[in-house]
Amino acid sequence: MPHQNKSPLKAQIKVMAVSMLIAELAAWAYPVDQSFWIPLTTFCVCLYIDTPLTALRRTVHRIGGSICGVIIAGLICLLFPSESGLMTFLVIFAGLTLWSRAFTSLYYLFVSCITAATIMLLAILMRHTALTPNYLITERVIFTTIGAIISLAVSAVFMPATEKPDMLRTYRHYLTRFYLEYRLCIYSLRNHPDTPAEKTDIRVNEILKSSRVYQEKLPVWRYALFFNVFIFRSFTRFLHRIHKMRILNMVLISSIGNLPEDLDFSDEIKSLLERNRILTKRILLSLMNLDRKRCEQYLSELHTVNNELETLMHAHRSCTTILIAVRDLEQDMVHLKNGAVQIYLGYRNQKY
Amino acid sequence: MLGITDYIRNDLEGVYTAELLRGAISMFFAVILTQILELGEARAYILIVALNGLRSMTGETLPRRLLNIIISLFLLVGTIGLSIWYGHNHMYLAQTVTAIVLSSATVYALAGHKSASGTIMFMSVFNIVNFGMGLLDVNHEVNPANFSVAAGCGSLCVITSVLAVPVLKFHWCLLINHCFYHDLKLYARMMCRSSYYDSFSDLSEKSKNRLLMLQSSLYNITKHVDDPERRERYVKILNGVVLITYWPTTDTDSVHVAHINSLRNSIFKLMYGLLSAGSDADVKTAVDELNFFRLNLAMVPDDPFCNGEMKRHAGEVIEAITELKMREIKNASSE
Repeated sequence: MPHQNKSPLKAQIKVMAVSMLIAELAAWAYPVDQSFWIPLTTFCVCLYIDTPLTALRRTVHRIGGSICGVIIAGLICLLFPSESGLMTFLVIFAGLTLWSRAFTSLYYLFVSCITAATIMLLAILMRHTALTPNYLITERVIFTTIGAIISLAVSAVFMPATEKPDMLRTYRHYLTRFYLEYRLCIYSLRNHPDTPAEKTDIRVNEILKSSRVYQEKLPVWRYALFFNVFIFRSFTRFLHRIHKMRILNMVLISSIGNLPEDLDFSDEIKSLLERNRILTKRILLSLMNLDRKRCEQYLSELHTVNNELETLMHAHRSCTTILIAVRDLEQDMVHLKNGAVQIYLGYRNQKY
Repeated sequence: MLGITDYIRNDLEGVYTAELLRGAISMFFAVILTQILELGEARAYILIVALNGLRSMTGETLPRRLLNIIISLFLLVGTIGLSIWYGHNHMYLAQTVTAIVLSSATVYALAGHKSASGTIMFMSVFNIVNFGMGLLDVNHEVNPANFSVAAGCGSLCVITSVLAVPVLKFHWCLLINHCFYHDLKLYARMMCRSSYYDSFSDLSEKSKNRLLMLQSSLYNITKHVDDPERRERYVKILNGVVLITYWPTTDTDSVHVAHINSLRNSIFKLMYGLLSAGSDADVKTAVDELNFFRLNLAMVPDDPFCNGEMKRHAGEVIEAITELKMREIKNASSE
């Protein structure tokens, strides 16, 4: 079973080797000048892929970028056919190629620039031959398409499609991150005022750093859910909600730090806070295990606990923000339980 | 449009910019040499080597970097020569084997040996392209003699550009602060133009994506600020701005929601005014407005629901940003 390959590097090397073999054979069999563009494209597409969908994304960018590059370079070759003109644009496109490397997520931009630069270089090299539309279209666009399709097909056969388990991993990862921070908040609230300040630190940097990681994954998931835009959008909403929930933990910590030094909660409040923490943990675990029924049961218990907390803590005016945030988080968890992502992941990942 | 701030945002370390400068210098000399020397078809190799020979700029010291570049150039030029020879002699089988070995080695190097991956990657690219060039060169116009001269000239361009720009990274200095203010301005503009919202869920998905992108960008820029005092203030601003954005209002009455929204709206509006101010006089006016707002905020009784915490965060953001702006005006006038 190819989809059970456990080493991603081995799969990548295998895809590269097989793709290059097919591409070289295709270039050999294709009796046209410049057929080397086939293996070149195959090589470029295979370079940074680890799943068939990353290959699809690079293929789309590669073909789209090549078409743009061909159009731009073709127009320039027609408008400025002199050698000095071509040389000037070669330097400009070479500079733009280096400039576009900074925009790593906009691969098509890099491909457009490098295609235009290559055409300029070849136009200078082949000054004695005419730069025909056949040369531009056949030898760039068609060869690019063939090369990209070879790598796409090979990656579909040899690479594991890990996006959906990866989505579930991400879902679980962010729920865990949220819980660890929330636990810190509840502990420091329960033990107030004995918790040292350095132990109640939630850094915005850490939250933003992990948000950046999922932002980078989103373009690939967009392809994974190409035929299910609704779920993709729900997944984006889920990630925004978790981000917001983690910021609410920061609000909680900030409010706890603002509590009066002499405030000491009764044992009843402390035990309710502990109940809140345990129930939150259970809710998150049932969300991670994609068990909505159990989650619903814990949520109703949490609602009761929060009601009791509100009644008891009402006397402490300084705790109002804390109560608002706790309520907000409860509602967020209800949203997560009812969210399309939970249902979708439950349906798709029963085997994982 | 991809402007300068977008570019800096994507190259905060200045690695690509250093490479861009080296590439430009190398290409400049390569174009001159191409025009001066009479090398026939082989002159294109001056351009090819000059543009692509810069990928192994690694190492702690300049001699080490130069050594790496020289080794890399030898390997690249060797690969080009070999591939042309394969092409001249129509050695398809040898070419196929070489291409597979080199491309697989590139994948391996990218996973485990990053510093060598640039060289191996371009060896693969050169191998594929120059085999094709060799096939096209039916009259064998590229021969060992003119190819060696062209490759030597290309290498010379590469070495010259490395000596001209020996650094691996660039620091953006004041431009990075401009970038921070630019993104903060976009953030403030977005927040003060967002319609009244009961909870964060009311915001559109597009707005949430944009907010998150700007938050990440501000965080990344902060990481690359060298001045510790300034960095600390940036972190304080970021921290405050994020908390104000997401401040909860669930299950509270409409008066409280309106109060939180008005506070949020006012601070972002004033911040936007300060960040959009052009002249020093405008900045001073905006700073005064913000300080006046902070004083007013301190005098207003605490909201029964939020215990003045949001006010405290707003105050911290105002303090940090006004201090930064005033210090900048002071520094500019003393120069």
